[in-house]
Amino acid sequence: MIDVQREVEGVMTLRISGKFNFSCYKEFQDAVSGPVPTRYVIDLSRADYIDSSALGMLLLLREKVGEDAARVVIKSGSGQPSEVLRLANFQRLFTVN
Amino acid sequence: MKTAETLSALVGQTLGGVIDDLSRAQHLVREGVQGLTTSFHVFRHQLQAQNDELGQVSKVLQGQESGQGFISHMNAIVGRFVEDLVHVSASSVKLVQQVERMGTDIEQVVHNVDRIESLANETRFIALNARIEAHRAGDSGRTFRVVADEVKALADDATGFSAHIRELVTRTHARLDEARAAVSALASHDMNGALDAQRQVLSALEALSATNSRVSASLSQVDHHIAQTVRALQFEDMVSQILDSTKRRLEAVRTLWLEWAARSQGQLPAGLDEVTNALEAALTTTTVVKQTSMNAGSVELF
Repeated sequence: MIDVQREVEGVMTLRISGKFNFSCYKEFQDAVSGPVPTRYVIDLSRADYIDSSALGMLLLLREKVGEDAARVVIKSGSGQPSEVLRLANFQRLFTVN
Repeated sequence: MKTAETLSALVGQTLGGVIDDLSRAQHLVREGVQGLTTSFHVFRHQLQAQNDELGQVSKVLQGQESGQGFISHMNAIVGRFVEDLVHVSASSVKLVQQVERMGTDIEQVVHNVDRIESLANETRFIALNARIEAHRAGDSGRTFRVVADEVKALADDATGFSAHIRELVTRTHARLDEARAAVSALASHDMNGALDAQRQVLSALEALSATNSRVSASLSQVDHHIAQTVRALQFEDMVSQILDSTKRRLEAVRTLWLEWAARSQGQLPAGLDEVTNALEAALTTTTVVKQTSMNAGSVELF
């Protein structure tokens, strides 16, 4: 499930809980389809599982902001999601904290 | 009464035997210690060779610097696999977006087909009206009736075409749904297998480092103790020197005794008889190790 906090001072926050996989595609797509904010914050601190499609969606979001690592911030939380982000070297492509 | 010669011979024989025994002991100790020293040197050498072999194995597995070695390669392979997987997923998600856009476009086609159909219906209605008017006009309207029939036929064709297009669109919709399902499956891969693989590679690396340092520590301990043992075996030299000086002193005592016996010539003073008997008894009951070499011996000697 994705809880979207629309632009607050140029920042759009997507808080994802539970599983972040292809079942979130529609919600994710709808959330990011509008005008591009200064920065996206993807909050995964409440997610307990992510798969490769979630990583793919994040990569496409990065393309959308001109591959600027500062413009997509991922709050990786702990457990499987943070391990998968580290495994995929996402700290080199995004601002992961 | 025992003669001085008897006693002299006995004492000489005893001292000679003792000196021989000392020589044999000296020889045995020297030979044994030499054997032990050689063994320890071989032992140390073998351990060093084992350590070198282990070093070779760990060099192959670990490499000397990061980025080398089998384990680093495995780690790099897992990394590349994950990178490829993520790119395939990103491309698949993009394909899903494209498929959805095609779906939207097709809905536009359906919308246009609806419009074509309503135009055809309107045209048919107009053709019908024209036919009625032509009928009313009688003979003069005959040509007009033919035109009206033609127009109706064209409108019917248009309806037929739009029905065909609608059918095609429905089929394409179904295919796009299938494509979407296939591509979304392509996008969705579980990452836990790759996580496990990386964990295993890293724990193998850690275990190898730990084993390496444990083995090194243990080897240097063993080496240290062997060095100490080899040093301790140098006692043989000191023992040998002590035995040499003991032998020299006994030799001096024997020489003195023989000189004294030669000078005294005759009966022994009373009391020395008993000493002679005791010495004789001692000589017959005392057995010593006769072996002169470690190689000639067997376990039971010790």
